[in-house]
Amino acid sequence: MRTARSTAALWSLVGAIVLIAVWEGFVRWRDVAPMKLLPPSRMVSAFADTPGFYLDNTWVTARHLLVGVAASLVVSVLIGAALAAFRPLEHASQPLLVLILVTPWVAYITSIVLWLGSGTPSIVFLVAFVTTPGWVYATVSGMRGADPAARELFRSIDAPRHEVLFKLRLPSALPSIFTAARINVGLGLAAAYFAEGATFTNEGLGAWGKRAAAQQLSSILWTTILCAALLGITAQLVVIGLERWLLRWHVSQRTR
Amino acid sequence: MGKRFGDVEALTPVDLTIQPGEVVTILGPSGCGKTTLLRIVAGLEASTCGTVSIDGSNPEAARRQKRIGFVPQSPALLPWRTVEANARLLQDINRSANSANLPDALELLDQVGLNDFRDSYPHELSGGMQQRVALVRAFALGAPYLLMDEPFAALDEITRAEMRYLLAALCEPVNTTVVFVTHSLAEAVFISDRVVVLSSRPGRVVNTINVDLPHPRLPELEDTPDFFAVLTQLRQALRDGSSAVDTRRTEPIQGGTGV
Repeated sequence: MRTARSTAALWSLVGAIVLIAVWEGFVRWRDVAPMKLLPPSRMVSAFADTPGFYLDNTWVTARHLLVGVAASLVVSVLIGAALAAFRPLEHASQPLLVLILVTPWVAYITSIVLWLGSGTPSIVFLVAFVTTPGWVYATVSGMRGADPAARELFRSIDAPRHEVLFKLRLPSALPSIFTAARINVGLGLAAAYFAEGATFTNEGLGAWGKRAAAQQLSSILWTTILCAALLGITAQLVVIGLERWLLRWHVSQRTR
Repeated sequence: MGKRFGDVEALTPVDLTIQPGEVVTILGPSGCGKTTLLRIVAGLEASTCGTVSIDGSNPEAARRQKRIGFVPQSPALLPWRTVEANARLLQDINRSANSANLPDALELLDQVGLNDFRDSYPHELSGGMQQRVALVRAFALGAPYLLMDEPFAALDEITRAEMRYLLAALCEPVNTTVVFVTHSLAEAVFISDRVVVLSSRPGRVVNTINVDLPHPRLPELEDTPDFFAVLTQLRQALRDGSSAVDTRRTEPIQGGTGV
């Protein structure tokens, strides 16, 4: 199993090196305008010139992402548990969940800023808001998928609702919650980057990315994008690591 | 008590009394209402008529007091819990209703030969081993009543035989009242004190056969003429039940009492 994972990691590294080489070569060969696409080497040198600046802003964006996603996870699991227990409530909540899913968040950011003010509250709210439906749907379907025989077993000794939730339904929902996590990390990061640029704040990769775009500062723009991408990859790796650890019993994490 | 699902009569009124410590098997063809009968006794299904009395109380009260150990058809082990944690599952839930003298789950695991697998996860076990954990989980509850719904149905014949020997061995010392549902004649004869034979749907009791075979029940018993004699008697009772099937729509159920 370890050998298989090492081989997979090696191939991922090979793929990344090839991608960077093709990117660098293409931009230099075609002499692409820096605002259109910056070669990786210039992003690395921009980062090396002022690492503290980029690391500080990456940390700000990471905090927005983490707090927003964590808050929406907690709220969504509670909502999901309630919806899984009461079907009428699930039906009643559909219009709101679908509305959140399909409405472009770019469109209502102004309203959020008017309600919550500029800066962190609006950014965290948007991250939490857009990631909520994914968590809720995953929680409901996962909890509903709990083994019927096990549910009956719990009933046979009159298990209280909270024990059914924490000892049966929630663990049963973990695989689908982790699937949602992989999607929500990317979605939440996009929301955080966008909201930082749209809520008149001076902190975060999105705030500096937007400012750089307005002032045609291609190095800063593309290096903030690189930092956001690396942050997203790190977040994905954390999710995968947690998934492997917490779901070691699940068929998706087993080799036999 | 009896049971109807809409217009379909699943179980005609059944009147059955089970003595403490008795092992009673409900035997009958598929769809005759065996599982329905068991689920009504367990309080997992409501009867359409009549009542079930467990030591003077209803099944819901017995469930609340954790006096019923239920063994479903599939092992229903929780895949995120180890073998030991699964064996203790029913002890860990609704703890306030636990009996004062809970059996030692580790001792029971040892008894069924799974002590070396206590830290394993269910997916690391064979089907027979998983079912052994399910049995331990039920016995670890220390409940005076065990209700088993064809727990060995999915196992191969060899494992199935081993499981009935194991179940008989587990039942011998604890004086637990067992209601066991099965299709298997050999299983019914080997573990039971009494076998209740149901007819095809709608299920009704067509015969009750006492199994006066010696205790403890050991595997060699299955090679004795006495065992074969009871087996033959049961087979005949099943045939009689099948030939007595009434496929016509039955009259509305009259009230019945007891189980």
